[in-house]
Amino acid sequence: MAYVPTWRRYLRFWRPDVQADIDDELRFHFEAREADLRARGLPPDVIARTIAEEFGDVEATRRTLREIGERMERRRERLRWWHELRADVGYALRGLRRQPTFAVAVLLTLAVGIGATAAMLTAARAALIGLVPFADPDRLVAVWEGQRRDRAARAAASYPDFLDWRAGGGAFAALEGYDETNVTLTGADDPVRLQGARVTPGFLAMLGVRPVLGRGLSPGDDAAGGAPVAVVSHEFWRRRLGGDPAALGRVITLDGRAFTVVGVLPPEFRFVPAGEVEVWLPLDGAAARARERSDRWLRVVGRLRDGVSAARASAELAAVMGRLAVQFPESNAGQTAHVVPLREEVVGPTRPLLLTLGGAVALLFLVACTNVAGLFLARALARGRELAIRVALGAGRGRIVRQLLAESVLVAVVGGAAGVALAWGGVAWLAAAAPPHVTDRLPFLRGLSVDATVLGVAMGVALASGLAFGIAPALHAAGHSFAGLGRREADDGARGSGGRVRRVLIVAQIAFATMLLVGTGLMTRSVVALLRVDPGFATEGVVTMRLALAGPRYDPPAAQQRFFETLVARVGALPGVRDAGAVSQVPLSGGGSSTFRVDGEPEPDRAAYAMRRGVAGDYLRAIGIRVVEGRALEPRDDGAAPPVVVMSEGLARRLFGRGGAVGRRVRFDASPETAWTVVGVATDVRATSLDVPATSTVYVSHLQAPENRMTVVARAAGDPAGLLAGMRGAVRALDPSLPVYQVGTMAERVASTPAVYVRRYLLLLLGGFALVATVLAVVGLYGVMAYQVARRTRELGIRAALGASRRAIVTLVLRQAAALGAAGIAAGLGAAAVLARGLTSLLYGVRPTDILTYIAAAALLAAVTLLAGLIPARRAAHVNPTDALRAD
Amino acid sequence: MTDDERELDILLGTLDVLVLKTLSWGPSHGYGIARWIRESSGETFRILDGALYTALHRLEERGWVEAEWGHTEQGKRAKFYRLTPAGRRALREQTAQWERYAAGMAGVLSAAPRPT
Repeated sequence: MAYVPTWRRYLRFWRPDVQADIDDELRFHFEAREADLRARGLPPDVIARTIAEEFGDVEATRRTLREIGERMERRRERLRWWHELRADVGYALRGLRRQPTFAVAVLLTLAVGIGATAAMLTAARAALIGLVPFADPDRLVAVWEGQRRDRAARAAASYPDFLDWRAGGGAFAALEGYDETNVTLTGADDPVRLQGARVTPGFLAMLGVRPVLGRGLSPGDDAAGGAPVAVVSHEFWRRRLGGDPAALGRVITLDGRAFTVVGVLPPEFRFVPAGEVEVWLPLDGAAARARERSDRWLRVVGRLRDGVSAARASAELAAVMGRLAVQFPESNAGQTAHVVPLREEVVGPTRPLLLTLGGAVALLFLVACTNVAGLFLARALARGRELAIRVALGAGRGRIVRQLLAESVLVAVVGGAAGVALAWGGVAWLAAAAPPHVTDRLPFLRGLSVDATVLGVAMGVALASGLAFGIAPALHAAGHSFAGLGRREADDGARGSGGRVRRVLIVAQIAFATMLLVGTGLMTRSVVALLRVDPGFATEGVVTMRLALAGPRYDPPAAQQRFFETLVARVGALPGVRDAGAVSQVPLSGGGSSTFRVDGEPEPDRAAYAMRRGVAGDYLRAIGIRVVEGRALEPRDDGAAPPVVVMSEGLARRLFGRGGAVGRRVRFDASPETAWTVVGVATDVRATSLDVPATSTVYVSHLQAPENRMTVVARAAGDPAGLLAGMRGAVRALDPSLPVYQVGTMAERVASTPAVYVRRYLLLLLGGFALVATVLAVVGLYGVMAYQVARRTRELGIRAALGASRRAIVTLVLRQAAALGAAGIAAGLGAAAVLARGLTSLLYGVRPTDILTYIAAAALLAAVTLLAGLIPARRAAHVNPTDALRAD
Repeated sequence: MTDDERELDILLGTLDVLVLKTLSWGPSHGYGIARWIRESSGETFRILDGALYTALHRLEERGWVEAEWGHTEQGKRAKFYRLTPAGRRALREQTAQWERYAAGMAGVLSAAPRPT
């Protein structure tokens, strides 16, 4: 038998020693057998042989026993682990059931915190990935024409410039262009207006899209005289072609012309900058406007060569533009080009929003975590005595730490699960509640769902937070000793490290809540300021309806003019209509601008530009724009009369000063041969967005410059919604094949404009977060104060007995609450002043350091803080000295 | 003392029953069981002690016996085995099985007796 050192036996105290047990057992066997045989008087050599023969292969047996033993040991270990886990969880559950308020408070807090975080992560992920779903998206760039003098100016490119960029740009692996367009689909049911795009042949290939059926567009497709072809979106194919796999080769009628479907794009393909495009058509490079260098309408997107930065590409194109400026001063003087990463272009505008929401969610999550940590700590303090007794009775520290951790992790996991469920619902709500104009802009909202990654992160965060706020109380508890048993808990709670940590947590919570309140306040003031803005047009009682004249029938300009004249006259004759007119673009529907020069003025440094609006009927009066000088456009300003314009007030003042505009003449750069005489000046309109100052506008009669797409505008005497049926009827009576779209009231349009909607949305979310955070912070503070008062019952009683007035005791307690509140508010205001700068782009009419907002936030929190302190303070004041002295 | 003609090779699975039976009278250590089987079978069975210990440990793993360190009457430290309720049940079942088997065998053998 091998020698076994004595110390190895002690290993068994640590854990069972399989090998030693086997050795011991066999040794006993051999010794006992030897003794038996010796008693029979056998000689030693016989004894040894007999024993060996009886036993068989000792080593093999030993090996087998060892295998069995280790297998059993592993199983026992597993069982013990499960058993202890079940015991810990059971203990945690019992503990939580004993204090349901605590359990519910913690679970709710965590669910809200984790739910909001998960929902936010989902939206942010969708936004960052979903907006640029292309192959190698970081090499894609948008290319704009700009002006040397105005770095912020961004415009589409003219087709000839685009061709020169292509020829002169070595920085690009591909450079393509697109033009958004609307087309009317006829031939099936009612005519429908579709979003379409005309693109250069390589456009889709550049993005890296592979059609699921057929082919993309190819260079031959734009050749003049070639059979017109179209590539359609998956949605179009599914809805309008019945998802027919044999749909290729089908002919569809767009704007009265036949197109052959040659390809279907994959369902997930989406080019956000162009909207929800249903039909992709080849761009006609030979069209009249494609020859005009001053006509800037082409949106250019490029793919950079590997290793080329956007800045280098920008410099390269700027050089090309410099040459063109010399070669074509008429159209290109002062022009340059900018190259911007496409992701920046698409995601950029939503970034402040995402950052703000992300920050708000992070704050809320921090409040939730500190709150839960505070609750756990309070519990651990309150249980100090119990834990000390358990330690005294022999519970291992490790085991106690494990039990407390089991409790916090259990709570965190359950809270996390509830949070994920909440996020699930919240995200679904977010996606469903977003109105169409928002999903058009942020199409990723449509398919929003909590994915596995977010789920994993949320649960990970829950677990980590569970461990984090479990560990401090657990370590605190493990520090209890016999000595702690004898000590009074009051000493622990009020002055111990646990109490200090708790106060720090409360201060942090109040600070976070303050920050959220400041954010909410700033956003509230922005929305209020925005809604107070006078947009320059009437929002009440105005209905609009857009239609586009398409098809060969309307090719002659006279047909277009006749149509709109008749329609406007008929709408004006409808009962309940006060004024009626039509305009090429109603306010808040966007639109580009035209450059022009003033006759008799020296060549300006920078061409003046204004949005040019074609109008029909009594548009200005219908939308509520007043004529302040001269006259409005009238029916007599037709093709036979001298060309005239009405100019917006701001522009007229800037160019000609007060009263100097009427009679002056301007020429648009696109058609410099015509001189337009200013006959009137009209009030300014915020035409692009409510938060953008009034845009320079020039109104032209459609009788002098025909329009094929106009929005009919009618001012109602009474309920505007009632007018719509009559207006639709008027269109149908004129031409039943025309689709009408963008039907609604101006009030709806204002409410749905991103400037208002985004802020209102943000306000709602921030307000919700701030409310929750404030409630949590106040409840936390209340908890701390109530706890302190309870612990200090004896001291307060003595004070009362010694003659302290109730008032003095209330003040004593309130002063503590006020100290915590003041520290938190001060820290919060300081942090808010720094962070609010990030909000700047989202604010309107209020500075990020708006003192009033800060004061209001501070006052509100101060008030609720004192309220939270008042209840425990009153309880303290009513402490009965004799009871207090008798208390523990 | 090894007389091959008189000893029978132990049948597979029989050892378990023997061990369980032995333990049914009370806890015992491995050596005690070995000795008892050897004596009570009149040294009929030739059981290697190694096999016995392997069987014991397997029974322990299966939960039919449980082991505990204790001391013999002579004060020596030894590992004692006792039957668990599950072991007792198993013993009952296997005994019944054995009896059926033995009765069957006996029936067949007595139907065609052969002079010895």
